[in-house]
Amino acid sequence: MTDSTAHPPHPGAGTLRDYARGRLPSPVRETVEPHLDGCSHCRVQLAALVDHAPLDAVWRRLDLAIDAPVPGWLERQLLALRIPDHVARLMAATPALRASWLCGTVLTLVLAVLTARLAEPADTPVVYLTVAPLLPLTGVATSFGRRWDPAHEMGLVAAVCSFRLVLLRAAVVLGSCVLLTAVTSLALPRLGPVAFAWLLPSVVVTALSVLLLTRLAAPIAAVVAGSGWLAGVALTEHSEALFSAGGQSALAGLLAATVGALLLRRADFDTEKGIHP
Amino acid sequence: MTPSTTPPTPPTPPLTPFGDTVAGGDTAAVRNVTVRYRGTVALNSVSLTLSEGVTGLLGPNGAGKTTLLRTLATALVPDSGDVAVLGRNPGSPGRRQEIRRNLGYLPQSPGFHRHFTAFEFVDYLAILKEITDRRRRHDEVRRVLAAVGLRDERGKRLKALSGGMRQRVALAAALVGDPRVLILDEPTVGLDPEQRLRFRELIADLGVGRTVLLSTHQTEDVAALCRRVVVLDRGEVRYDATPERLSGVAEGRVWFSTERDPRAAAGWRTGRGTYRNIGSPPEGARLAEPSLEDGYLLLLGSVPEQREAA
Repeated sequence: MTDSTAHPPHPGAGTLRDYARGRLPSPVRETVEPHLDGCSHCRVQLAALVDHAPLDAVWRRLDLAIDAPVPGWLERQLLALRIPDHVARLMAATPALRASWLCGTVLTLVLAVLTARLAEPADTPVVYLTVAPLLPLTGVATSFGRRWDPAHEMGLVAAVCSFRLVLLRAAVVLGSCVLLTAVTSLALPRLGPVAFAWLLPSVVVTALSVLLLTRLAAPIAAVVAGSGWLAGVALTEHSEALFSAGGQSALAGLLAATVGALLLRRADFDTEKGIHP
Repeated sequence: MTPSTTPPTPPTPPLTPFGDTVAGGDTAAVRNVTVRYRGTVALNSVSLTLSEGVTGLLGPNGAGKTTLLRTLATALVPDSGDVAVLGRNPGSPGRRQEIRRNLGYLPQSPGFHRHFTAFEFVDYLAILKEITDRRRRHDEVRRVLAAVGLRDERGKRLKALSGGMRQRVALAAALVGDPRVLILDEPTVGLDPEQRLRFRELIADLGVGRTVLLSTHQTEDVAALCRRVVVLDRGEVRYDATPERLSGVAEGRVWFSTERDPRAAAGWRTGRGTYRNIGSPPEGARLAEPSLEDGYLLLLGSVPEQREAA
């Protein structure tokens, strides 16, 4: 065995650079690799020549895959709707979105539909149309304030704009209720468009309850908004009037006024005196 | 009464006027701030100016410490008086947003979404801080979790972590965005000695280059960490000086005796069987080295004596 076999010559800097870039042709590469295996000096030289950016990128992707939050079922659905990941995360963290709340909402809807099918006038199922707008209020009542949101205080100060968070949560609650109610409305096919006359009242009472958060604790705000709705239904000479075209127009006007008031008072949501603890 | 028992008059904040912005290097200040809760005065015309370093806030329960902290954290709007943080008035929504981007707040009892992991919780609060870029946000979450020593616990659910670890998660969340002002409300309550030491190290490091206001009942923490101590009592600032000067309040007023001394305002039997007394010592008493706690107790317990002297 010759001396050169025992200690093969080190590859030149150009050869190592080509190897680091993956440009070294095959026959030469096969001679360089065994040398690198046995020569720490050349491995050090090679490490200095390697472009670390792609390696870092791979590492970051791996790191992200290992410890980054794994989206839950709801968050995945929101992401599928092309909602940005940070918005989806805030929406999915809405305190009301618990299985118990969803089950309660579904159960109430099923009972309301059964009542409409079995015991109410065929043209305007007043009980069903009255109950459906109340459902988002239970979600509003259990989504805001120290009692329901465990990170309320940290969130209040961390949030650069609390109003946005309030709106997102209210939208999640309302959206969930609208979706569930719309599905159950399909069980009342003979009603036609009237079966969806709960939609506008749902938006109105939700907006009203959010507006009341600036003065009242969330459960009380929900009770007040809900009582207002029930009083409106009861006081209407013929209860169906609220679900007629005229009634819906009046509700649309009330909604516009509520949204206007919300925009005027949006800064109130940023402090404890604004959003009731 | 020795001169050292008289608490120094709280300094008048030099910030004038408190407009939309305030010039000067002071990082947070309140002037003549009054806060009432259902008719009870929680803060009574409090004035205080904070600057870089750790300031300790001592006071008995109900003294108004948390109210003051919430006011400075922009969570609470005072009934009267002025607030300025980082030269901005939090009364204006735009300025309040600017403050919050540079403010970290650890509340007295930070709540948690217990099903969240440590990473998810801090990530959630980072989103609220409007760090919307996912990669930048996750890098920041990793940075703050590493800063509080929770790099390896980041994937664990909060309900599986100890109380001390959860407190560190909350501190990590307060550190998101590298805030210039950090407000900590009793961060070491309920922690064991080792965890408290760990927290002490963290807070000492955080006090370099930023303003930290630390509310606590632990006088040892104040003695170890703070270059300034403020004592709040019944909604008013009773003392505002260095910890050493607060210890000095008890200079010559702590003594040992073999039996309980009826002249002592407070006294207890030590493990060695002797009594450690605080108050007005008798002639020839064996005096003891006063601690910050002695000064604090004497300060709060000697109100009538000082009023008479005044």
